[in-house]
Amino acid sequence: MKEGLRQSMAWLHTWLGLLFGWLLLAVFVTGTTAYFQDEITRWMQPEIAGERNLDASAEGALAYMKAHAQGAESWTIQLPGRRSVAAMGYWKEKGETYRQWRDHAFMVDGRGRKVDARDTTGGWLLYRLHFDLHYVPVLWGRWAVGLAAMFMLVAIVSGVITHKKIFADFFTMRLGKGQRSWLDAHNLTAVLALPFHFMITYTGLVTLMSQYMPWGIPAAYERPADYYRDHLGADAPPTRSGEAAPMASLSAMIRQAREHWHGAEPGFIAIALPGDANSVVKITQETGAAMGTRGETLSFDAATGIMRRLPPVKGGASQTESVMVGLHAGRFAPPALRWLYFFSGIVGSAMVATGLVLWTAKRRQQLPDPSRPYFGFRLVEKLNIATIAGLPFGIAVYFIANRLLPTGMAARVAWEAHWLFIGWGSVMLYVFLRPPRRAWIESLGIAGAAFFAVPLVDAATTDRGLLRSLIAGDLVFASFDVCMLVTASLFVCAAWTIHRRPVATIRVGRSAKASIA
Amino acid sequence: MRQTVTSARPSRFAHGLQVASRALVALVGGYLAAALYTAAMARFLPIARVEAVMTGMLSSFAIYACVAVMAFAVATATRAWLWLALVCVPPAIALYVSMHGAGA
Amino acid sequence: MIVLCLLAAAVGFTGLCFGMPRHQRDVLGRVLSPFRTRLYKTLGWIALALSFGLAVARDGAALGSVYWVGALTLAALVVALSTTWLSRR
Repeated sequence: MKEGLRQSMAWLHTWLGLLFGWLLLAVFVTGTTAYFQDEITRWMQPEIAGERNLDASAEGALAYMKAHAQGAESWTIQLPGRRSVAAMGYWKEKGETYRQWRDHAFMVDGRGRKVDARDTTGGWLLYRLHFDLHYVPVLWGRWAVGLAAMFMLVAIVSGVITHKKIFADFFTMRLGKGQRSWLDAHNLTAVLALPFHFMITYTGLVTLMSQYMPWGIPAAYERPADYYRDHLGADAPPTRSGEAAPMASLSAMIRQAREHWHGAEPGFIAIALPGDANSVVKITQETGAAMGTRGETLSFDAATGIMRRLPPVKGGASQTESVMVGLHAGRFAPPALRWLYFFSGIVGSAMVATGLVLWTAKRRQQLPDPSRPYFGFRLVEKLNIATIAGLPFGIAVYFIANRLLPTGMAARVAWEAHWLFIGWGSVMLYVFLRPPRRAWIESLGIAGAAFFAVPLVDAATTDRGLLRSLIAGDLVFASFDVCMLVTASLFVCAAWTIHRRPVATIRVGRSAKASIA
Repeated sequence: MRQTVTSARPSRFAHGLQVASRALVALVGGYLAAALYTAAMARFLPIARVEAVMTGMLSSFAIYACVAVMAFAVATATRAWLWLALVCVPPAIALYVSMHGAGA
Repeated sequence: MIVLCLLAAAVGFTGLCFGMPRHQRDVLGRVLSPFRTRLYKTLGWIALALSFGLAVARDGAALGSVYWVGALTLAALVVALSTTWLSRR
């Protein structure tokens, strides 16, 4: 009985892992980079310098909109989180949709002054790639990622059931032994961060659960709008009175909010009908203020600056959801914990990557003629290389494009993203044209070269290259460039390791460190 | 893969059919079960509506995962379907009665 | 405190590792007495519990638990890689 269960779970685990492996690898890699999306965005806008100052930025953004956006339907200020410097402001004219916000977006630095920084989506693109994918409608992307996550959840459960001696083999990894090594590496990376993997998968599903599993809403509410009102505490939007009324001090409102939140910072300010007597200012807590990421929103009467009725206290289930999303996004994490999150994400990526390579390693031994594998095997092998080396290469190209694309060019934001996929696609094409072993060595080498090029291009095109950053004590920029160099060396090491292995034992014993790409 | 053996060696087609059948239970049946329990929890839990809806949604993925694992853990594909029916029928009936019956 | 927590976790995993005959064989080349095996295992669990206590003491139950899980991951990796390296020599 037990043997049968283990075997069927192993079978389930293998096929689920394979079918969605490449998508899961992309999700893991982009998600891991997203833990540093704020830092990445900062690096991608080198024009913005200085320290963060919430109040100055808020007032600066407000002043700009008072001068340029009178009569707008709403003004919005996205305040910088703890790891950012600049605030972003935008407004919405009457009749516009929210999609057009980019037309009216501007950035304000810590001194309250508008800055002209190159147009970029920065680290936020990688974050959005993580669940929206790209080039497909957002809903489709989320369904695909959700399905992959569900498969992963079941893969975790089946993996645990299958590996019943889960701790007996825990502490060793037999390197240099072909398929056995890959299995050990896969087990180690999977079990090492098992609590993280399980948590990240389940909470990931929870972040988009209202899309995946909305059936509770019509079952309990006759009108879905009532659910959203209960859940988000939204009051009816204000109607225009026609009377003009100057806004009370925004700083004073921010101060009230901070006091109410015992020192926690605001993250988002939305002003409806600015300049009107009925205008309302909504200040939302920053998403990283607590583990529960859904911060409270306080409403103020814009003309008087008086706080309106407090939102209702959240119940247990709502708080659980907030904490679950918070755990997934890790916005609350201070630096040490953030690096742990990042490291766990790398381990997770390694788990998926080693699993994919394990599939081919295991079946290579069963091939009747190793020099002529069947189509499915060749396909999996090529896709493995294309994803494991290609996606990181694409990300490096994205960073390089940020430095090289002209700052004034049209559709710059779209083109930076295109370059990521052009890079990835090129590797994919290249890989399909080369024999497998050369494909591994060359594509890993190319990825290493690209990451190596990032700090070089940075130093050549901006005044915030690695040496200058180190001298100036600019930790964020320096760390970014250093990380690029470290990543480059890991890829080059991996390529070199494969190159040095005798051809008879192809792909045997790449060191575990090198496989953690 | 465990399955009832009706002949000396099940054909690849028969095996494939078993797998597809179980996959259907896991993929579609799992979602159905999760959706039914989400709706049932939202409707019947004796707590605030918004909380009940949230509780249902939060637990849905655990239910989905359990059904998916069950589909491949039981002895035959037929048993997987039977278990699925057993799991889905109670909330389905409760929801139906609540939404359409008793003078609604 | 973070360092202590990590250290305790590493000690814990080392104890658990050497509480298994298989790893004793791999690294030391021989199997230790049942008493010492159990001793290391017990000390290992105690060290892990200590590590949890340190994490919670520093950051509270919620944040501390999260840190602890991260520390476990890091410590386990270090111990696993060390054991692998030692058993190759």
